[in-house]
This record gives sequence, structure tokens and C-alpha cells, in this order.
Amino acid sequence: MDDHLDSEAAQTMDRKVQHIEIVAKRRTQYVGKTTLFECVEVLPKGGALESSDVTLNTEYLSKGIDAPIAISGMTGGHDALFKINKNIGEAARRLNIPMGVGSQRAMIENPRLAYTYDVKKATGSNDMLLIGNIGASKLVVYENERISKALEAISADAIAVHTNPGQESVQPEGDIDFRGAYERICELAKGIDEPVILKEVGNGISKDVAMRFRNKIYAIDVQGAGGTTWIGIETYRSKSKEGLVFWDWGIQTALSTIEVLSAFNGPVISSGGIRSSTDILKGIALGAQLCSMAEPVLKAELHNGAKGVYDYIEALEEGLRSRMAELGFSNVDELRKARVLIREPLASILRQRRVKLNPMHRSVYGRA
Amino acid sequence: MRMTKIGKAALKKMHFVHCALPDIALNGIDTSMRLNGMVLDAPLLVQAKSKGEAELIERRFGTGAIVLSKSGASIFKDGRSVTLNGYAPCKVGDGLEAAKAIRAENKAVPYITSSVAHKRYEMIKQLRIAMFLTNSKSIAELRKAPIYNG
Repeated sequence: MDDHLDSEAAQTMDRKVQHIEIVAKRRTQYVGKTTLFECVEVLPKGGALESSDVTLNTEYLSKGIDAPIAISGMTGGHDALFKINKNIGEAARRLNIPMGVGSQRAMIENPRLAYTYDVKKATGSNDMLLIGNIGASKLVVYENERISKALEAISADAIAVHTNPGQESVQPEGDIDFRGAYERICELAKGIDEPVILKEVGNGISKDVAMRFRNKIYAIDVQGAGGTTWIGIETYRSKSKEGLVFWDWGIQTALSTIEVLSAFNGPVISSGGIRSSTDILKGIALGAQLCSMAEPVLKAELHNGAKGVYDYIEALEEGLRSRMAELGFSNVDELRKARVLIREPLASILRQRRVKLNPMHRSVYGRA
Repeated sequence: MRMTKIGKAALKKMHFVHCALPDIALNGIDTSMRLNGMVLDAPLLVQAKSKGEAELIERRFGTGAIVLSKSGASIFKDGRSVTLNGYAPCKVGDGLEAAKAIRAENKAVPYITSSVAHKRYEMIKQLRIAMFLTNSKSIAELRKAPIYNG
């Protein structure tokens, strides 16, 4: 480890490696909560089609991509993690889908580590969509210029500002002061050229939070509850008893997706526990621009490198194409306007939350 | 006196709506609560069987104690006692459950048994986290935090 690194930077590096090890080896999923996608049923548009009649192309960040799937930012900031980003990047480049990197805090603290996030350079691709990343609570201490430089250093097309109060509150060295974070995100969105995406890390975003960002930022990535729990990951690291109590905390992904769509006027990414092509079908049918995933992609990379990631996502795409064909949707735009049946308990939760369903989706409530 | 009607099952079904971007600092959260003129550092009392045991609990754990009897409930703290009228004492197992009880019932008075009194500080920390994640700076704000059942 570099001699000049201060202890905070060294801690950040070590923590990143520990996180990957925990995700790879331990059970880090929600226990008492699901994504609630099981309450969402996509109704057929018409007669079945052939899979070959279905196209998955869509747009994100004003660029054409080959499927409504993104790989969420996971890692970077340690020499040992470069290979993971490079392999995921290689697959994302071949699949022409967006990819994010983990928090760039480590490279802001220690610029030598920039290469571990520089997927475009590592894969020799300037065309792929690469999303940078910084924590909301850290924005208060980093001025726009430092963020811009960090994005430029890896030629990022946009920045995801991750907000993770749940994770921070059970992390021994966590940033537990979020005062001014909202204002800083808005300032950042005004002050830099790259579009800003707000994303959670697995506890979901409510309509109230989404509403505050109308006309302020480019997109919201909901990262809802039901998949990997970062509170759980921190619980393994710190052995905190608080973490056990809050293991299942958060707004389930399907609920969060619908809430954010009802309140926010930019692209919405449905994520958090997306594990199958049926989950992707449902997320897009609810109106999301894309679905993103992290943990299964990481495991595919750890299992078989770039090929593992490529094969995993290609299988998801094939499954999505097949499900869309069965239901009569020939493209993603049609799927976004699908009629959706929402069953209990999600239907009753939406009523309690007074969430107005997007009339364009002509969603209906139904009994289980 | 109204004894607790806040069932464990109801608390389990109740979920706070997570606030992804609180406007507060966890360390700045005020967990204190006023009960019939008595100020508690947190709405988490320790159950005692008698006034004598209540005094022991206060000496040992530095916190108020609640004594439940057929005729009612009383809180003992700082050599004073108050009788609870119209409140709903509610046994809880952790700080998140205490937060839920407070949100579910305006007059809830969460308490823990003396056998877990040594975990009270930990539970207050959990209560504080629940308040942080619902953007509640005070117990009064926690009472208004958005929830859903399901």
C-alpha cells in the first residue's frame, strides 16, 4: 500500500475489497422482504410473436443501447478490483449496454487508483456508456471541480450519486450527516456537464424524495429492497447488532419503482433484486427506462470473468425477448405501455401510500 | 388505564417508508420524550415489579422504570413517580419495535423487561437509526413518519 496514503484512504480501499469478499462468500440477501414483483402481472398485448420479431433496443443518456439492461456500479478503488471492472466492462462493451463503476471516492483521495475505474481505456472502447459514482454525503466536502475531474479522468458519460443512509448508519466509520446533501446534488446537477442520476443502494426511493428532484436531475435509479442488502453486508463487516435489526429495512423494488414513476419526470431505472428476465419484463412494463443489476453480474464475473458476465446477460436478453414474444410485445416502447395487473399486498400498499398509477400504463388492481 | 393493544403481529406488518435522503445528522437526533411532566432520555423504560426494584434499576442503569399492576402503571425516575393515565405501555424487543410502537400509537410507552435492561443503550441506538432513516429529528416527528402496512 502506498506510503503517502492517509489512514482514511487506506480504510476506503480495504473496505472495498471486504465488500466484494462478503458479497461473494456470504448470504447478503433480504430475508423477510421480497421485491414485490410477484404482485405484478404483465397482461398480453395481443397474439404471440416469434422471438426473432422482438427487438430490445432502447435509448439511455441520448444513446442507443441494445437492451433495457444496465450493470450497476459496484467497485473500483483497489488494485485487486481493476480486473473485475475491466471484465464487466468488456462484456458491457460487447453487449452495448451501460455500466457503472463503484464510488470514485477512493480515486479522489488517491488519484493513482483512477485506472481501476477507467473501463473505457481498459477495454479500448470510447463508445460504451460509462456511469461514474460518488456518495451523496461526500458531495458536501467535494466541490464540483473535483467531481468533474474524477469524471473526466475516466471519460464517464454521467454520474450516479448514491445515497445510502441505511448502510452508513450501521457502518462503524459511516458518514451519518446528510445535512446539505440534497442542495449539493442540485448544485452538482447545475454545475457540471454530465447528467446526474440519483441512486439508492438497496433501500429504495420514495415518491416524496423523488418529487424533490423533479426538473433537477436526469434520472433516478430506485435500487429498492428485496435483493442485496448493504445493511447486511456492513453487518458482516462490523458484526453490528443494529445491522441485524435493520437487515430488511427499505421500500421494495416494485413499490419504489411505481412511487418514483408517479413523482419524477425523468428516466427511472428499476433495480434492487432484479434476478430474471421476468423481473426485467415487469420493471419495464411498469414504465422504467431500464432495469439494472449488480450482485448476479458480480458473481458471474467471479465465476467466469468477462465471458461469465456476457453469457449471463445474453441469457437474460434471450429470456426477455422470449417473454415479450409470448405476450405480443415487439419492442421495448410497447412494453412500457403494457397493461399491468397489480395484486395484493402491493395493491393495498399503493392505496395506503396514495400513489397515483400512471394512466398511460392503464394499470389495474386485481385480487390474488 | 388503557393497557397496550399494540400487538407484535401488527408491528411486524408495519413498515416505515425509508427516506433515502434525510436532511439531518444521526448524532443530532433528539430521542427525549415528556410524559406527564417527566422528561425521559428516550421512550424506552425498564419494567420493574415494585417501587423498590424501580429504584434499583434507576441506580444501576440510570433510567426510569415502569411498574405495571392491575390498577394501572406508574413511572419512577429521579425519586419521583407519575401515574400513567390514558397511555398504552407496550413491551418491545428492540429499538425498531419501539419506534414502530411510538408511530402506531400516540400514547404508546415502550418498555423492555429488566432481563434485557443492559441492552437498553443498544436499543436506543436502534431507535435513533429508525429516526434517522425516516428523517425524524424528534419523537414528535417520528409520530408523523410515513408508514404502510403489508
